[in-house]
Amino acid sequence: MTQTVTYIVVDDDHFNNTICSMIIKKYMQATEVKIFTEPESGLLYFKEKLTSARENEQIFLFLDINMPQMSGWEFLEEFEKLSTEIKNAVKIYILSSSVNDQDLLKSKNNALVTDYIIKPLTREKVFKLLQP
Amino acid sequence: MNQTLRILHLEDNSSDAELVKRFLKKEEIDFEIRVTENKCDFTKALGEFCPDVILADHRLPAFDSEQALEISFQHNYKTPFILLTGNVSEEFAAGMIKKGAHDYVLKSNMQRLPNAILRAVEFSRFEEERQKFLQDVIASEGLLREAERLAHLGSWQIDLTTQETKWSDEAYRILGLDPGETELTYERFLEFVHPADHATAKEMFAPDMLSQNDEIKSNIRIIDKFNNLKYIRSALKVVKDHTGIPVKIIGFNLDVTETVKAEQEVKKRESFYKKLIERSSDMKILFSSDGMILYGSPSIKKILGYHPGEYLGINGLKMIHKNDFRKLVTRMKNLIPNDGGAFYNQQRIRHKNGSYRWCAGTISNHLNDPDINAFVANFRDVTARKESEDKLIQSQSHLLASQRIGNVGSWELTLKRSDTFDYGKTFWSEQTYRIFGYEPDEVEVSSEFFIERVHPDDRERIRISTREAIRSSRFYSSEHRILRKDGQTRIVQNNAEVIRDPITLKAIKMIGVVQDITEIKSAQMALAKSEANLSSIVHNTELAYVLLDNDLTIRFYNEPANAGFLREAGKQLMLGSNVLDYFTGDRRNRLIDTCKKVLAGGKVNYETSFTSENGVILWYDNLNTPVKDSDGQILGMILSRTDITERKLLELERENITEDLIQRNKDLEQFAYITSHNLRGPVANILGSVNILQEEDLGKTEKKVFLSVLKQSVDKLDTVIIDLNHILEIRNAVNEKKENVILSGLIVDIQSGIQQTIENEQVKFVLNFSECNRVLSIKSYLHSIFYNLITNSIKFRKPDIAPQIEISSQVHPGILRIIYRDNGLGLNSEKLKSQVFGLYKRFHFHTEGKGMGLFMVKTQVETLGGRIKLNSEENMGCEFILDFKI
Repeated sequence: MTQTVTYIVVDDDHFNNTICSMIIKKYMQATEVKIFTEPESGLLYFKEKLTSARENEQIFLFLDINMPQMSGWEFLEEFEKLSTEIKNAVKIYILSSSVNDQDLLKSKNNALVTDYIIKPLTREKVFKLLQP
Repeated sequence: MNQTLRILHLEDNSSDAELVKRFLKKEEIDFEIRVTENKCDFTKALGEFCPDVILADHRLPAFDSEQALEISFQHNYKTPFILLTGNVSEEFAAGMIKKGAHDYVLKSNMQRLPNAILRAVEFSRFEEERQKFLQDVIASEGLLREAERLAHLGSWQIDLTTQETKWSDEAYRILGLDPGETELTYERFLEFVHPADHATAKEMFAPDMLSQNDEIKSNIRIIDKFNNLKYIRSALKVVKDHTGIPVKIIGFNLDVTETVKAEQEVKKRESFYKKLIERSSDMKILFSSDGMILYGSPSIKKILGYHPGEYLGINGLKMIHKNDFRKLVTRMKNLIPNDGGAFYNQQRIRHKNGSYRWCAGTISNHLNDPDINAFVANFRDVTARKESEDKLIQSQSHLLASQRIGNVGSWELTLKRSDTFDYGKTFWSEQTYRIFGYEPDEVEVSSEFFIERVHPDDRERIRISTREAIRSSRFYSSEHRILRKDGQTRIVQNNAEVIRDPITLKAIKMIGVVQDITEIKSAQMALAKSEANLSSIVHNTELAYVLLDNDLTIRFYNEPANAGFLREAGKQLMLGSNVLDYFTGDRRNRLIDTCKKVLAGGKVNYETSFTSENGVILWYDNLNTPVKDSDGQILGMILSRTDITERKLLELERENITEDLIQRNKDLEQFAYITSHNLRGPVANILGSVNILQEEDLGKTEKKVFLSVLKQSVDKLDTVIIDLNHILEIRNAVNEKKENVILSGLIVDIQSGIQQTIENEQVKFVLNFSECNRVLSIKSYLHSIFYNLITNSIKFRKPDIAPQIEISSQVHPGILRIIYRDNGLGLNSEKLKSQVFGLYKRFHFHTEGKGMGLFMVKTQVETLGGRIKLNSEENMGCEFILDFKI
């Protein structure tokens, strides 16, 4: 049985989401790609649809920081409250246009965050991500 | 009878003579008898034998009793003559007695003889005294009258049976009457008696009084004819008959007015004098030339511990210390011939407890003063002084002390007449000579000599002050320069006492001590100068100082401290008051805490502020430190305070500036961050799109999508850059022209611009610019600020309530405050405070907006040199406070 891989993008920027889905679909064996322009909807997805992580399911989350209603950091605070199973099943990447050191440092210090990716998402960045 | 009775017996019958002897012996009479038988022997015996009594027989050969009586009478008529005979006729016997015989005894009744003899002898003696008395009385009657007059003794008698009265001449005179001027009676006499003594006078004559007493004495006052008050000593002698009934009163009135008056005068003077003495704390002792104490003032008890009974009549010299005895006695002896003279002496006198007290003072000679008749000593207890002097001598600084003490000379100046300042003899001690640069007794000194030695500039002052001291009898103390023999100028201290005659109170002498104080003086001057310097430093400093005792009593303060207390506590500082009394409530409690800490040895440093009446805030740096002696013992504390208002204002300004800078820096950081993010976002999208367009094989539709993304991202980038440019323009617009902006007009402009919206939304405005309606500012910025605020209020209105916007102005010192209030949705300002004025921040997402409004408002307010603050609660509307400097 092949592994299920789901990619989730949380970003209010439509242009970025267009670019992301293009890159993911083209270069990653994605079982599923989900786009949320509102962070609350993203959170709701995790809470309700993923009450228990399916076996062998790999989930990647690309999270923007600068969003008007709820910032990426606030999103992470809420995500922290979810079950350990889910948290273990989800690999979180910050995907931000910010090149600010503060943001970089902040994401490094957050245990939930796997890595920080500076926009735009490109083929090279995806390959690097997928290397073991 | 203790005397041998001498009896001359005329008898020729020897057996009869023997019989007489026997009878007399039997009666144990001590007698000597001579028997004569003839006229010749009898006559002879009268002369030789000097008999006390004569016994005579009647009939003798050639001689008889009649002749014998005659002879004995011729010899001495007083010698009692007793006829001792056989039978004689009664007539004869009576005839003999008539002739002078004393008695007759019959030989047949011989046992009666002894008694007859004794009675005769007694009678004769009595008679002799009577005669003698009569003679004396007669002889002295003339003198008596004179004596009565001189003694003011009047006599009188009242015969109680006949009521006849007799008054002597002087008795008249005492009453102010001429002798015999009027008939005096007992009743008339009573009229002269002083009313207050009437009862006494009457009582003297009361029948009971007279019958019970032989002698009555009383003192009464009378008022004589000329209304003079007289004091009478009255004595009555009551003569009574054999049954004891008073028959006669003999009285004597002695006028003692002068004596009484003199006594009263003496008493008055005495008490006056005593009071004078007793009031003084000095001891006054009156004593005779041999040292017997006659009087001592009460201070003796205080100084020496003796009660008057323990020293009066005692030789005071016994109480003098043996080492001081000889000198004192010698000087006293020398003083005896010097009437009115005095000397100053110091001697130890034994205290009741056995110790000795040093007493110093003058002893003056008043032996010839009738009121005093004594030496008068005027002593003061100088033991303490003496002891301290002694201690000094004994101390290790022996050399210094002896030099100093050695520098004290004494002098005496006799005053001939104090009223004319006629100075008499002057005496200088050896040391006084030395102080003036002379050898002892090198020159004869006088008051002129002294005054010539005084520095010319001080002479007049000394002359005047000396006279003043003599006149007022004050203790004299002066400091002046002298010219020594060698020409050196020295400074001396002269202390003197004026001695007064205790009776006349005239100044008679000045006794003084003189001390060379040149060195002390120069040291004192140096000290005074350094003290003055210190004090001027303390008083002229800006620092406020208050020095406190351990019990927080104020011991010293300087003027800045006083000014501070006056300003903050409303009270002048008072030396001796408690510092806590200046404050109440919290300030007092804080001060108590501070003082406790300091008195425990700690330093306390803190800053305080005080808002003065005109609203100016004053700042102080307070440093409170303990004051310790060389042993580290805490004696008190110093409160010191520095006015640091200026420094503090600079500090506060710096703090404000720093805060401002930090805020600006934060703003800049945020600006940089936000701009980077807002610039970087579109750029990332452009990069992403270009990448895809370049590298991927895209279908026509896909290509179109990414070209569209590319186009829109570039447009967005352009918008952001334009926004930034706008912001930067505002920030740098400090040079824009300022003009007078009428606030009410400004709001009207804005309202007309958005009239349609206001009408649609039914916006209500409440404006109040009564306090200030005009501000010098950049009109376009103010327009933009209020335009943004008003449109925000309308955009973020509560859906169910018509928007209401209140704008008012207030004037504060240096500040124009505009308060902008709406009744819209509001914000939880605390949570979002840091973000509310941020660029591209949006808190409500139901309306369009890119989050530029409040950011622009803030930027424009700050560019105008003002500040903006938001107070808000969710659903409670917003309140913006805009402060502009004016």
